[in-house]
Amino acid sequence: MTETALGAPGAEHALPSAHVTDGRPPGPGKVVVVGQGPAGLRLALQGVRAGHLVIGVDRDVRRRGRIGAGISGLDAAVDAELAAALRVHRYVPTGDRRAAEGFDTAVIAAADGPDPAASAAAPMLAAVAPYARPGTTIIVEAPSGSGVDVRALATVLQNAGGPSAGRGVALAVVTPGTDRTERSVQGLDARSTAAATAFYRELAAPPDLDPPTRFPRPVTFADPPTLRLPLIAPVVPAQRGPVDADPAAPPAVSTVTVIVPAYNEEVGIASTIEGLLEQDAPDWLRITDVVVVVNNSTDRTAEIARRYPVTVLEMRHNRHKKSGAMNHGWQRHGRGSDFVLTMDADTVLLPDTVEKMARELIDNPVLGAVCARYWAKDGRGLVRRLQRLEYARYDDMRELRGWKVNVASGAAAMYRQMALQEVVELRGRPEPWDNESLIEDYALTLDLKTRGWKVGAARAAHVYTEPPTTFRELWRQRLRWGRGGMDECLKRGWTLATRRDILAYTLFSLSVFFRVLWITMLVLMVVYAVPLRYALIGLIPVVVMWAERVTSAWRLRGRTVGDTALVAVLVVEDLYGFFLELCAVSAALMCLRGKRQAW
Amino acid sequence: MYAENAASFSSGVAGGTTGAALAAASGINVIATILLVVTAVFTALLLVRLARRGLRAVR
Repeated sequence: MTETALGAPGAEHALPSAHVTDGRPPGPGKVVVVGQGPAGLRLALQGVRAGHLVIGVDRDVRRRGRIGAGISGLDAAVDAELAAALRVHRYVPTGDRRAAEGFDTAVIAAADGPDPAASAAAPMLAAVAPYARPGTTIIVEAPSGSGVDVRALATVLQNAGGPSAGRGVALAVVTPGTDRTERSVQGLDARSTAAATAFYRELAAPPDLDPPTRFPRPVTFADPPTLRLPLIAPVVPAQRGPVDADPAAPPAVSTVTVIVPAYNEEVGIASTIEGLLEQDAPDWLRITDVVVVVNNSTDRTAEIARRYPVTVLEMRHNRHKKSGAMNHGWQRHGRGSDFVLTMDADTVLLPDTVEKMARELIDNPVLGAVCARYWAKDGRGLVRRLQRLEYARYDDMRELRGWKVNVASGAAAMYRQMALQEVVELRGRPEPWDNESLIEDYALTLDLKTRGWKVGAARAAHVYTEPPTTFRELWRQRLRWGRGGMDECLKRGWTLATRRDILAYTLFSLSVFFRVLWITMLVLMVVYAVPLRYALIGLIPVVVMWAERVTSAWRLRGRTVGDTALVAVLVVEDLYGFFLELCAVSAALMCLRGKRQAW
Repeated sequence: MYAENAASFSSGVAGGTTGAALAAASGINVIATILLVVTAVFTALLLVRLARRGLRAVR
């Protein structure tokens, strides 16, 4: 074990005459910094300044979100540097440790943690250890007196499945001085000490490089597929981030891949695609691909889709139906973009929907997904009219709840790529949508919440969706929704992700109980001719209820006198409510009896 | 039901009111009191919702 001090007088003689990483010349490489607290972030930016591609790994989703939005939490100068690094894609904050693959140097910023001791450093080291290879350098930054011992860390490295620290991997513990310019380096051997020392010297005196040209864009997961299509939206360079530190740097353009699963949608697929092709093209956003996944279709859906400049994938024997189609589209074409929009083939977007959804995700870094606000398409018939009112009421409720949603509805939902990757990691399967769930969008929402992401509605993004047109279709749809939702909650139990939904189900059960009570009482009153002694007092809550019901449908788009009358008479909507509750009760019974529900 | 429902409070008010009225008329005072409390709670929740909607409209 050897020790030296960087920046201290007389330290120079201890340095080797050449870089010691197996004869490779010092220069830019891939640097992983685990822990993106103040020290870790500053170190990461130093790495970028030195010309490295820096992967900042941190488990805290809120911290990652803030950093990803260009907010360092330190000072304006660091914000500016961070924004510039993000803009040129030289710095990638992520929660996925697999992004460490192929690193040259890893720095464990244990000094940032709440417990800057060996107990904190060891798991952070274990996160990158599997990606260590001969020639790489691993540095653990720990404050003096923390008790972090390089030999103990060597054991962690070995136990974590990486190659032995003594066989090709340089390992050192570095203790920053009080002003962070002086560092004490404790290497496992002379070679380790020299490698760590050389790394810090390089950071202190970055080489003269042209960073944007050396690493055009880091790829942290699978390589993005080669896009077969021309760009749908023209790319006009734009700027993003709070501060523009380097006007010469190429600006960031966020990319979106759209995945449209389509099952026998020959009627609606054309207007859906046209709605996508007519999307506004702001200078900061590009739709890189529209992927129509034609799923077990027997009609002309694929033929119609091929008339447009979109990618068409056909699945003839897809037993996983909608989730299988979306997973297929994502795996083939959706992994290289910043955001993934999934939408039903009978959903039509307004011209600015994609832009508004992407804007919401960019502005709110803690959001893993957003759904659009959806309206039921106009049309004739009581079933459609009742659903239009119901959807308008949902919309009203969402706004009153601050745009929080229980589910990022599959009618149109946009996901952050990083969030999808984390769900893949969480599930331990190669696809984010759960093929076993009846309502894959709800399952994905819960997975996102489990990983700490928030899910909301994009307040300015609107879509039109086609509702069931008969009570029979509606019954099937709601049975599936009810069954799927209860299955997911039962499967996962009481967790941070499900607790609000379980409470909502409890309230719903109470609602069913009171509706049954109400009907029973009415029948008893009529049969036994019970006098209503408290009728006048009882009218007060009824009037309040009436006012609430009428105002809740006030924002129905294209509201007619007929719609208002339908709400005002109460009884029709009450019967509809009874229908929905009956459906939910049937779903609950099926769920409890374990009876299989068809998709 | 997709874990979202906007009409639960209305059901509570409708059921609670009617139940309370019948229980009171039948002389079952304990049930009448419970249902009255339930009705009052749900009515208050509806009033809060109405007020928030009103505030949103004037903002």
